Amino acid sequence: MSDRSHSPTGPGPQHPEAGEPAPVTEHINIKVADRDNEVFFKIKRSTPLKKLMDAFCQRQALTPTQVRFITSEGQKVTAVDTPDTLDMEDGDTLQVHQEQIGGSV
Amino acid sequence: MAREAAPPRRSARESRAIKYLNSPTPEPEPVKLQSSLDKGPPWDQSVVYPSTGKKRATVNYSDLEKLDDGEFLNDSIIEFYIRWMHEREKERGNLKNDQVYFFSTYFYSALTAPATGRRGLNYEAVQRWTSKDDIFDHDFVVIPVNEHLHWYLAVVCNLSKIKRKFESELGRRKSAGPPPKKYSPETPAVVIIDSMGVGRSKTIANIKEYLIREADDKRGMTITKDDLQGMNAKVGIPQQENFYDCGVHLCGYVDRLMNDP
Repeated sequence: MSDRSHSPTGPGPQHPEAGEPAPVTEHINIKVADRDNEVFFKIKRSTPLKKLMDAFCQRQALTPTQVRFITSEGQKVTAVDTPDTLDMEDGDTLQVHQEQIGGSV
Repeated sequence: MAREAAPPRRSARESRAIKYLNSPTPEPEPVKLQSSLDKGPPWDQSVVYPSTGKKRATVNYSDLEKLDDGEFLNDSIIEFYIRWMHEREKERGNLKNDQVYFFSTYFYSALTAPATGRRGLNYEAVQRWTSKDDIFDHDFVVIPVNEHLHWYLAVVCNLSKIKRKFESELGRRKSAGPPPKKYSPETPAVVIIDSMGVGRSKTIANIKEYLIREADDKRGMTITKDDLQGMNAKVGIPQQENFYDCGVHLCGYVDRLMNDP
């Protein structure tokens, strides 16, 4: 659906160099959304998502330890995760949630 | 260097975290546990458990403060502990691999936060959370709920029985009238376990509605509210005696459930 056709490999038959047959696009677009904001990022599939999370926190003036990033499949993103480890697809959204705490009240 | 150092470092932190989670060391005098006392030097990275695979839980150094006496537990600690217990009980052989399904602590929040401009449950927000799993295959589905600064537990029992019931009904269509209003251990039910002893009928209704949508969406199977019983567990549930311990109670409930499913 989201045809951004940004793939660096292009529609050509095969990558001329490199023995990897994987035609997986190297970059991925990720939307990060909290209650009122949506920010779009484009990162490599192998880049730790920590970078993206830190950037989002800095931009929104959030404390990283007080927010959680959750994929559309309900996985909490950890500092070592990359789009690859989470099987993210192009155009996926990370939902930002507040830290949950509870005692009673 | 990093490659060599990484695994032992991680496990050292892990065991430290576990030690903390098990904390109340049987000391004669009640020592107020303060993280400043002995939580050790700060870690520069989060503890990730398990180190590979899906559904990993992380705990950061800053989360340790939540274990201090009088503090509220946060989602990281709860999720880590549940995950860790789950692995432990599977290793001990008390649990079969797929017997229990755990939702993240954010599941219920995401489900009940209305989509912009709409009211009611936001099923779409969690629709894909189970895209690789079938919750109707599990005996227990555990949903830790965080609501208004309070932790409590929702457990859906015997969902796998619904499936069987549905398949057998295909053959002979609907027969009997309404099911008897009795809590049989075989009946699919939504059970709330709450350390405050408060009834959560709204939560039960929400979870039922989710299950109905999920059954329809993932399996094309029709279930109704009457197929699911709802109850607030009251008898024999340890209650909290202070205003900060519900997270600990939640962990205790899960522990008991997994020890003796």
